[in-house]
Amino acid sequence: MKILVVDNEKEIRLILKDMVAGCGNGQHIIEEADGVASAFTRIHSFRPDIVLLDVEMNDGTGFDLLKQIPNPSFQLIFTTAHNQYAIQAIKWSAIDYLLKPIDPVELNNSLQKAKENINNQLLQKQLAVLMQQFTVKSQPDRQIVIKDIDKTYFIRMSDILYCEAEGSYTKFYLSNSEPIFVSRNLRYYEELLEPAGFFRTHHSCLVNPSKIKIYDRKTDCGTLILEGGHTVPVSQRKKDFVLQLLENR
Amino acid sequence: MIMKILSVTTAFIALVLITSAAYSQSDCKCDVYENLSAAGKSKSAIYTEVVKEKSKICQAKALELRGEISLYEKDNLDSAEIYLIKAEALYKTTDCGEGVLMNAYKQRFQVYWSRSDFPNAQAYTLKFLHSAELEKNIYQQSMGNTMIAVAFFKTNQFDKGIIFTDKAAALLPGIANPHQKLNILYFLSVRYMTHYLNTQVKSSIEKSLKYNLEHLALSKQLKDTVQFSRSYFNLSGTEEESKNWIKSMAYLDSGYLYIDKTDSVDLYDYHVNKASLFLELKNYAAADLYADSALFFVLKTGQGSDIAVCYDLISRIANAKGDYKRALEYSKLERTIKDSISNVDKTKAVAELEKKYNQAKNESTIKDLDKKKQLYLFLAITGLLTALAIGFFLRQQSLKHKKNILETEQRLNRARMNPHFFFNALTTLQKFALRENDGQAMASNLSKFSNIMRDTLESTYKEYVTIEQEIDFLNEYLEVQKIRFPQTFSYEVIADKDLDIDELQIPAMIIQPFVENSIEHGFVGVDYPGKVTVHFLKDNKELLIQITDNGKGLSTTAKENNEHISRASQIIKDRIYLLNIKLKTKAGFSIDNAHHPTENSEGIGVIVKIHLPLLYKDLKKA
Repeated sequence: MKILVVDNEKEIRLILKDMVAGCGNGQHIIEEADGVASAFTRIHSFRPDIVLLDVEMNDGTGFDLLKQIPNPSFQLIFTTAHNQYAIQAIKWSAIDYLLKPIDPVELNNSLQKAKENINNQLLQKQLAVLMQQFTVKSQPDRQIVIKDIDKTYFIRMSDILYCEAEGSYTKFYLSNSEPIFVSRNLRYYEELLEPAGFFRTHHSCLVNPSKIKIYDRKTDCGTLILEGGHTVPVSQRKKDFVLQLLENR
Repeated sequence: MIMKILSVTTAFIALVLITSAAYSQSDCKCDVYENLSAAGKSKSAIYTEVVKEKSKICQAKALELRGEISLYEKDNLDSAEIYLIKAEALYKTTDCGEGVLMNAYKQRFQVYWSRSDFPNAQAYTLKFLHSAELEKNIYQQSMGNTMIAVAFFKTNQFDKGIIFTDKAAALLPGIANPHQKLNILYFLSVRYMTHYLNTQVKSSIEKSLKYNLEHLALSKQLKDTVQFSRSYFNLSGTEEESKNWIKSMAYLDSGYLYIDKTDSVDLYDYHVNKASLFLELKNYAAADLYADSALFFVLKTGQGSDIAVCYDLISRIANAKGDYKRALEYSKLERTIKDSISNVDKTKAVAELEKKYNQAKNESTIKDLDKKKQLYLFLAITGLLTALAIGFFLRQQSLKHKKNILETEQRLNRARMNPHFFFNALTTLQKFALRENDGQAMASNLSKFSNIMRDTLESTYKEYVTIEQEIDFLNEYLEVQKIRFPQTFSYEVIADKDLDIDELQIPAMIIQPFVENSIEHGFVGVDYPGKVTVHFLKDNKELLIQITDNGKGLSTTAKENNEHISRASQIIKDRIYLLNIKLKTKAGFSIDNAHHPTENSEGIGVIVKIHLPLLYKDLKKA
């Protein structure tokens, strides 16, 4: 496996290389680059299978580098210290990322996953999703990438009806296909979708407001009826909020 | 839904008409009143006669009658209350005891009830009940118990309410007068229904139905159309509960034929139930129409909880029609009223009063209750005033500190350590564990790192640090930075000997951003060893801090470089601004290219000069 480590800090590159080497029992060929420009040339000459990419570097960001590579043929893992904005965008695309200081166990998991996916190249599509985060923020049909155990789905936000918490898992109900069961909790997706207007009607439901058809208030707090006849409960505290929302749309 | 409407049906207006009192002493009776009332004259007719009588008891009765008239004919609660208070005072001067006050108490109850003032309503129910017991009037005792029950129901205390409903039911066989019996039957039916709807206790609905059927039979027998119509309304409610909308509607319409068309309460009942049924039948236009009428009548009665029910119904109709604006508007109205009625304090007050009453009864004096009530009122007012005073004080305080808070907030936001530093520094610390396997160095560096974190955290509430503390902090910070960037730079932090470094203070966290700039940006891409120096010195009775490096220097082209410089200078600008305002000083700073900071340096370098007043530890100017 050929692995390229991109980070502007030399010490961090050294440690990352050590950690990566530790994961591969000496099987990996590891190279490094210290910025956007050097990484670009390195990718062309070295043709890595996996790239560990820092987000903020001296001569630009990791995203700047990716823009210059139209057909990436490697698996990508972002590494970042602290940048909420970047992490948010990465989450939308479901590209793997590691937070510094990196846990060697997590690094090993990520490398393992990358290795399994090596022939299943979706990065180009995922990058398209990532880049759209920086261009149009409010576009309703922008995509989100979600993964279940064995598949990766590219979903338009406007196809999501609602998400339901099931323990630490989340079930996505979609308007055009079967529900998808994802191994991340609802809070993770709430953080992601809240800026796009999704809201919790109830502790276990995150609803796409544009999918609400009727607010049925026969019972005390009522239920929302969504497109396709799905019903979602509304909690006492959210009653007025829901009415306000329906009024303003 | 219907539970609310049904429980609302429980107005007491009709019962008052049948009030008959048997006064124990003859001079405790107003004969004119007794005679005219036995002859079935109207209240206003009786009043015109009674008011001519000179005796105290008749004068009191006249006032009581005026109160009653204000209450039922004019819907004027405020004047009713005033007349009744006067009547009560006058009765109390007659030495006839509490017995004569029975009806006056009942009217007072009605006033508070109409205002949804349940604690006061409860207090007067208890007085009324006490009078009824003194008078040995079984009917009024039974009535009193149903009144207590409804006060508990209204405040959602169903387990207590049912106890008093049962008490009222137990008194039923002792009532001889069929008209009085009819009244009680009606209230029992409604109470048990309310209890069932809120608790789903099966036996309650059975009892409700049983009493309703007795009521229906008796009202037919007595040809009492008003009561007859109420029976129908009750039946309509039972049908609605089992979702037989059409049947329910039929009962409702039958009832309507017989109701007193001048009675706002019954009219409200009819319209609100009708609207609710139309809503179920999805005939929204009709539902809206009836709801509007219901609102008209309920506003006339002024019964708060009924108004809330009506608002909720209108909101739900609007919601069903998709008129969310209206739905929200009415939902908010409902919430406001509901909150004001059923707040915890009132719920408590109702229960407390009942407890107090039982105590008072043991001492067999109701005056005690009065005193206690006064005490509570006094306590409540004192409490309120205290709360207001505290509120006012806090508000003043908050206004006073608002400026300070804003300033502090601004400072905290800006004086934050760059989070990148923490995470990247921690990553480099991993080196000692992984690469060099040097536990000693790892432990030592972790503790340096911790010290930096500690100082950073402390800086969020410590405005000033001594120069000595700052030197320690900078040394530790630079030490950790050296782990990140080994061999790229050296550093020096020095203070002149004539400075009292343990006494002199400077604003916290103003130097670090400039030093960070030198290391993370000034030295990037330079091929000679960098050096950064922090020098504290006295300059013309001022403190001068010089931060010098030999890096790339200020660049006019590298946008990024300037961005970082601007962050650091913004932090210090804010701090110096605050300092100058607070202490009326003339602190300032400058950033320039250093040109030739040391003799054999290759870079242009940057020099930052910070001028501060000499601030000694107690923050007095030197």
